[in-house]
Amino acid sequence: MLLTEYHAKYYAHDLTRHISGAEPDRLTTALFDANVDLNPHQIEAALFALRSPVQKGVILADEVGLGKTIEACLVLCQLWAERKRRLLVICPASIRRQWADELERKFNLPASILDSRAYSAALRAGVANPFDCGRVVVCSINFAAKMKSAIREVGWNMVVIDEAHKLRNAHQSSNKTGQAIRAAVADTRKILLTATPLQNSLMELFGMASVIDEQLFGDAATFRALYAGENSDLKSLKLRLQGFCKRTLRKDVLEYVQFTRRQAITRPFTPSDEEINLYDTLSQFLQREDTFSIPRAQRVLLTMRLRKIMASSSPAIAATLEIIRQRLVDQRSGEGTGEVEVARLDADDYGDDDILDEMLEGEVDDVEGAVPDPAALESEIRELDRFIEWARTIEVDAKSLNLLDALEIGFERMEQNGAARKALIFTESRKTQCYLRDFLQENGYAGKVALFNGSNNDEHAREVTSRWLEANRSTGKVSDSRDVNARAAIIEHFRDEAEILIATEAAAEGVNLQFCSLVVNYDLPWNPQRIEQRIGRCHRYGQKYDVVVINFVNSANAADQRTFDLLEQKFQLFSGVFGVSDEIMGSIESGIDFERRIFEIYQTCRTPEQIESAFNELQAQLDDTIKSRILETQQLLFDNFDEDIHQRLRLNLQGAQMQLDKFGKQFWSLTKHGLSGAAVFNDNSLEFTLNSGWLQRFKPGKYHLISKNESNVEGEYLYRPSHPLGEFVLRAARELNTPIGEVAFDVKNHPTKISLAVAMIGQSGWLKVDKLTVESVERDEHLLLAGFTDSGLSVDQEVFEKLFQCSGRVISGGVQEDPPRRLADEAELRLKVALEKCKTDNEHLINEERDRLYRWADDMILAAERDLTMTKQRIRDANRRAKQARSLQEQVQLQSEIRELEQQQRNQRKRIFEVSDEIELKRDGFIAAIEERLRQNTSTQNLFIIRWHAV
Amino acid sequence: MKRARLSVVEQYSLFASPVGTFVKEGCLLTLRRSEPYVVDGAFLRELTAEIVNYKKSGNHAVNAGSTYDDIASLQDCIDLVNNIIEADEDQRILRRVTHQPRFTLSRDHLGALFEFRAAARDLVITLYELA
Repeated sequence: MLLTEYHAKYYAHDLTRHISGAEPDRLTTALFDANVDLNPHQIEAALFALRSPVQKGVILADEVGLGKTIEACLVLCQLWAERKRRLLVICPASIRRQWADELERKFNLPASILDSRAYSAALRAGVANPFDCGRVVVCSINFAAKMKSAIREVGWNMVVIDEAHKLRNAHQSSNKTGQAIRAAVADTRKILLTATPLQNSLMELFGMASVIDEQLFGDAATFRALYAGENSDLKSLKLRLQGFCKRTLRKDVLEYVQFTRRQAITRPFTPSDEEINLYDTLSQFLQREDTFSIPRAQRVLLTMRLRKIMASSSPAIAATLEIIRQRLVDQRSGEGTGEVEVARLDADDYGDDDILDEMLEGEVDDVEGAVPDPAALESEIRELDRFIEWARTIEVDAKSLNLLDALEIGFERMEQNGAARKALIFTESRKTQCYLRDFLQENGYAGKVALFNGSNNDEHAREVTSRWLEANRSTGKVSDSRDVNARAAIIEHFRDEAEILIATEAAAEGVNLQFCSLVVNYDLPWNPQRIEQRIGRCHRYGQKYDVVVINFVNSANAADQRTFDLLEQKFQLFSGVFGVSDEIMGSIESGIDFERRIFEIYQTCRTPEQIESAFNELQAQLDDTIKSRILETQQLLFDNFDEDIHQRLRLNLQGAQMQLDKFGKQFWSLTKHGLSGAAVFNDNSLEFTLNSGWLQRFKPGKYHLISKNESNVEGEYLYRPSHPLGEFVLRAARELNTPIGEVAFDVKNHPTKISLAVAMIGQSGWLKVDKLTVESVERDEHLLLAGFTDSGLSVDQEVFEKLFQCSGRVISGGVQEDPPRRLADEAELRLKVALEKCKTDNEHLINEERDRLYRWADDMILAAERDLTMTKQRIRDANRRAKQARSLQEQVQLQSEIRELEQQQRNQRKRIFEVSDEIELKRDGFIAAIEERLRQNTSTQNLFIIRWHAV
Repeated sequence: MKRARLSVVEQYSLFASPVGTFVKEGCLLTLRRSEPYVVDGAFLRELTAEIVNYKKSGNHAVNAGSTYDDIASLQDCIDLVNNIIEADEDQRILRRVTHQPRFTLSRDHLGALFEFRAAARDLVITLYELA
């Protein structure tokens, strides 16, 4: 397709114009830029979040598996494209990596995880406020609470809070974290994400709403009185929620999102007598409180870690005890601090400060260690020596032998299902990881095993990484970070070559392995969230086959069995379509409490009876937590009874697809026009090769237009509007010099028939293209195409838009005459219509905000009226008693009581008037402020004027 | 209207009659006769002043024979005032919930009702003490 300079300028302005509010094409840039599938409910949710520039935030509460993260990322991506780049994601520490990866890989947004260490390093490097770094910042909830002042200093364009139900008590002054986060982000726009907006009480909604905006509801007591008590008005609450809360259910989107099932295989195994003896002896050792091996300050964490390693493998036990023994030896010779570095304890997962914070929440900070008695210390070292030796004598444990059978069964199932012969084995221990690799290599899987862990620096990983670097040297895939490269290299190696990937918890986050459908939990974490994350690596959006999950259960260990039963039956982690239900997962928060409870049972129960009763108690508590009544309320409040939802989503999808198609075509044609002579283009594959020597700052090589319909070619630069080269092309075209000219649009030869344009064939006339900019809280830009035919007929904007979809050529010789006066009049008319529409949209926003503030004021006044209602009740009661009084003395006493109450009533009424005045004044102030913010300043810029011919 | 009511007060505020008559004829009938929302504040305050003066004058002690009648009449007055106050409350709540304009009493008027009720209640207590 041939473009004129006028086409190019028009396209460039059209592709980059700012659109405000929830106009369907607002998200086009984000959708085009993002490497995600089009899902209509996600588009709808993202538009909902962007709807009002003056609203302080929304709650996106889709059920699990519908991609809330993608919804929030779409919003962030769009804002980034609009150059609103102060973006913050606050999430649990354990999923920060996942967030950063999604942002970078799927949305091409630069993201940085900020924790204490990175923060201090940035300060040392002279950064004034490390939160304000020009990248999307991802940090943990605890860290955000700690850094509330630094966060408040940044004028954020958007803050996303994931797992927002953790802030459900944010309105309570005792909830320090919630209060801090609330204060930190009070003035910014927010998206709260949660799959469980309601768990135990409606007050949780109030808590989350208070994080968004304190004026969504009045005070807590009023909310409770209105909605959380008996006979509460849920209908009215639902109406209020609709303004800021959106929840899509899986049943609404089954036609777009394919869900596969989980199938569980349980492999019981019986350890040898030797293994059981070692386990029991070590268990008793851990139950002792007088050991030097475990400093008091770290008792819970260390003991928990050791207990998990005990269930992992004998080599892991030996290696861990070695580290502890070495510390005691150091202590004996007067070296060492007496503390154990948890990160060294054969773990990939607990080395992180923020996760530790979450784990240790509520634990007493006891740093005083006991002064070791030399004889006792010596005796303990000898004891450890004995344990280590004992663990080493167990060369092959029963579980690993069982693994061989399990893998065969799993692979058979893969074959039946038609899935690839791939298995992902998870272990919590790096020692076990190495042991399993050697064991599997020796038992039929030589050359088919890869490892994945936090450092990925074993010999095999290094070799795989360097091979990968070599193969991808001239592509855009290689990153500056060795870590990121190694991760990508190992995942691709697993996908293309290896059969088995043995991973530690490091792989349970931020890695997507939909090409694998077999997950083996060699050892089982106690935290259901962690298990869900593990399985979620494979059982996620994009998985084509049922995912088989294999678990091992130690038949000789009652606690292991009960833990497994709980995880399997109560949490339903291993079967069904969606895995663990949102409600159940929500009820245990991050799972850390649950993990601690399990740990306490292991640590304190000594007999099978004690274990049985402790687990029964835990199960009963879980049943209590998962209340069915609240689920009904949740359904009442959030279920979408809108029968049109399916139709609406379908239209959403069609609209987005059409918009993307147009966007893609315009961008491709514009690029061809802008880079003609500098690159060789292939229209069929939508790729081009940029010649070397052309503008030095752009790397020469193959560029491939990002695509949703076809897989993006590996090893080429992904070309998109936000790529520096894309930005360059767009900017250059926007700034083209376009004096009045004459353009012939080739309608006849356009590959598809555009009826509106065809009707214009043979006609000619004038066209003026203006850009209207409306500046308010957000900028809104419109392209106005006004003109008429030489026969005097006005031409619709849409007709001109269609003409610009056709090729064109500039008729040489230029235009000799001045544009007629009527052209300016036509443009003026179009401008008026556009401004009127902007005004109406604005008024709609103001009215919405006004309604909200009126309701808030009502709530506040209602709060003041509450006391009055109680007094009135007491007066009625006293009057009743007065009527039944038997003596004059009693009568006098009651009359005096009534007099006092009446006086109180009078004062309270007076107080209500005062409060009403105060609140109404505030309300009117807020409304005035919003009106001021929404005041529109408009300007128009003429892009060009042409004489046109449709041929 | 105001003048007409004042004449009622004048007629019965000579305190020649027992308080019961005064209250019954002066306050109760007036309150009952008129629509509650058009009982004006100034008139109520005059009624209140009469009650206060009546109590101060000591005449209530003279009319001891009709104490229980007087108490009942005063209680009726108080009930009527309470009804007016409650009806006003309902209107306020309706206004808040429906956002529709409602006829509610002015603060001054409401104050007058409260004052009247307080004076009547005082007199009731005094009468009970006398009895």
